[in-house]
Amino acid sequence: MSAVNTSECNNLKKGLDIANYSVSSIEPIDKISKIIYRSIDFVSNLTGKVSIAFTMLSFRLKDTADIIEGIALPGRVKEIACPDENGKYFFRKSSWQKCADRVFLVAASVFKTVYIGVKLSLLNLGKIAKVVIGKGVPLLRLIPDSLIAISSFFNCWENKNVLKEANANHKLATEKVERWSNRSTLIEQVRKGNYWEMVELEKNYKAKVEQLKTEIRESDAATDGPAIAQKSALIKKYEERMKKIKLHDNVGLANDLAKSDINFKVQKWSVEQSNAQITKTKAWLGIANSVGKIYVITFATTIFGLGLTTTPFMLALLGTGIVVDSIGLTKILHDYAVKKQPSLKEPVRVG
Amino acid sequence: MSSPSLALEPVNGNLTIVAPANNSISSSSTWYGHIVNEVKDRTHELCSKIASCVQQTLDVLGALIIDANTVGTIFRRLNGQVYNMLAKLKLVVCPLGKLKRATGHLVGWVDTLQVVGHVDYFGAKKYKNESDIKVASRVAICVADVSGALLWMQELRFISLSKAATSLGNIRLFSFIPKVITAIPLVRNISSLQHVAAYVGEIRVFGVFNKLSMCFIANGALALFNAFSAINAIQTISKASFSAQEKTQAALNLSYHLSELTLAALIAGGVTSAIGLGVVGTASIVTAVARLAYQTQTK
Repeated sequence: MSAVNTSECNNLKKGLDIANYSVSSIEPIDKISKIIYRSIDFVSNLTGKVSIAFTMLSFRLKDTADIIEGIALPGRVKEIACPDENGKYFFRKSSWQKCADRVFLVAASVFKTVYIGVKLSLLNLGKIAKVVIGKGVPLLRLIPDSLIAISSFFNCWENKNVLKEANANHKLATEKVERWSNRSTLIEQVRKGNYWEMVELEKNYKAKVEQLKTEIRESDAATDGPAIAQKSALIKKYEERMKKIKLHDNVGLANDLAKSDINFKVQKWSVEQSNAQITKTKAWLGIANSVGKIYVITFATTIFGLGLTTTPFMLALLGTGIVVDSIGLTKILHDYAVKKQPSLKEPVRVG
Repeated sequence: MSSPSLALEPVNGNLTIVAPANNSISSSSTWYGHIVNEVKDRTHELCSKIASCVQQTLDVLGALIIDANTVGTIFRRLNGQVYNMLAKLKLVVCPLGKLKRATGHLVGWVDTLQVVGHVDYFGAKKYKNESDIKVASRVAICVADVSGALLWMQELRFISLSKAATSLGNIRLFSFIPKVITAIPLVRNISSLQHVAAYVGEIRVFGVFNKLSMCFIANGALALFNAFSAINAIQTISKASFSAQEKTQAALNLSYHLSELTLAALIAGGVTSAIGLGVVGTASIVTAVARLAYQTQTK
């Protein structure tokens, strides 16, 4: 009973902490504002009856979202121009897709700031500010939205690559967890001299030795020295075990298998499995957010450009916008609340 | 870079100037080479300093625009005092009406949302490890934010504070007592006890709300928050157990809270000079940015 209460208390504390973060940081406040004012506009378009209080709230939240978008530029520039806490610069540590994503996002932020400046009468761009594409898309609105769509495309690509790697890591970690969890059973079977286990083990070791030899052949001795040495040591270990299998030295082989700290290995690979799962979830949220943004921008540009601002289209646009912003908010709060655990290091053996 | 020296060596009994073995004179040994290298070094040094300055500025700006409280403070002071000062000094080059309106809406919304932070603070019992003065300052800002949120909701016409005040003022805390008395068989017929119960049941505990304005409560609580926070900062500076970094942070916090208190005192005292209020408002913004910048740099 007390364990359940403690767990509920911890969940409540975590929920309150996330709620606190969502109101003390500008990014989630932006998303919350957009979700609320789009919801109000959705209800207004659907029913035609919204109280004056909600209409005023919607108006104020639109202003809030505009200001937040207008002041976002320094943060975007900081991300690409300043080194991180490890002293690494963005362009050196990121893939080209992520670099392209951020460059287009910075460009979009510049134009968005200019657009907000014109909207608030801080900047006077003369005739350029009045240029409209199609039947109702201001040029100063179209440019940043197009750049955001391109940025989202590269973001989606980057997340797809990350997801592929995370899937592979997750699969490997799951196999390792299963293998190390069954290690004690395997050791008992080897000690008893189970024929089929020995055959399976020999087959596995042969395949691993072949794979490691191939990897060593493909490596560059000048640059991959430590990795090659590690692989060579592994090959030697597996060949010694295969020798023991051939000599039917069951006890020796079982003792060799029992040398590893099984609990540590299970823990280590469980952490890797959990971290891979977090990366996968983050990548999926990123993909959903990016695809949603591309869809909303394309849809909005089309209906405003063609002058199709009838109620069904507006409802569809607002509804999609609410969903995309909700995914964006979920992504932000997930990044805050769910952190990867540090990878466990092998303990140093004394003696 | 030192220039290779020409040596005096005896050759055939005579002292002779001997050139360096490789016979190549580096560019630094000539006067123009020296100047070129000097200019290169100084330019490189200057560029590195500028780049470092720009990066630190971007770091501070990046941290600033993420923190909702600081953004709210800056826009509040800009709207309240600084824009008026700039208009008075004829330094405004574009109309600020729409900007003031939009940023005012942002400040109102951000301030209203801070109530959730107070729910987290008290709900998760984060006050347990904090000093009494810090908890007191938190209570004060909580009252200020709740009052501010109620004022904001009245502006939007979600609620009517006067009606709320009247309802609150009419709450009779002990109204259940007459019902309890009349339920007891032996005592319900005793008329004096019934009179007493009826009197107790009529007591209004929250009647004071009818008489106080929410603005007064909000401003008073905000001043109290700044006062408590300033006292907390002074205590941090004076105690030997705190590190130099914590004391510096406390000093910056103290300067911010004192500028806010000064502004509150000037407004309460009826000062209407746009320039005077603008200067204090600017000081408040600068100190708010400075304390956040220090916090970011030392994290």
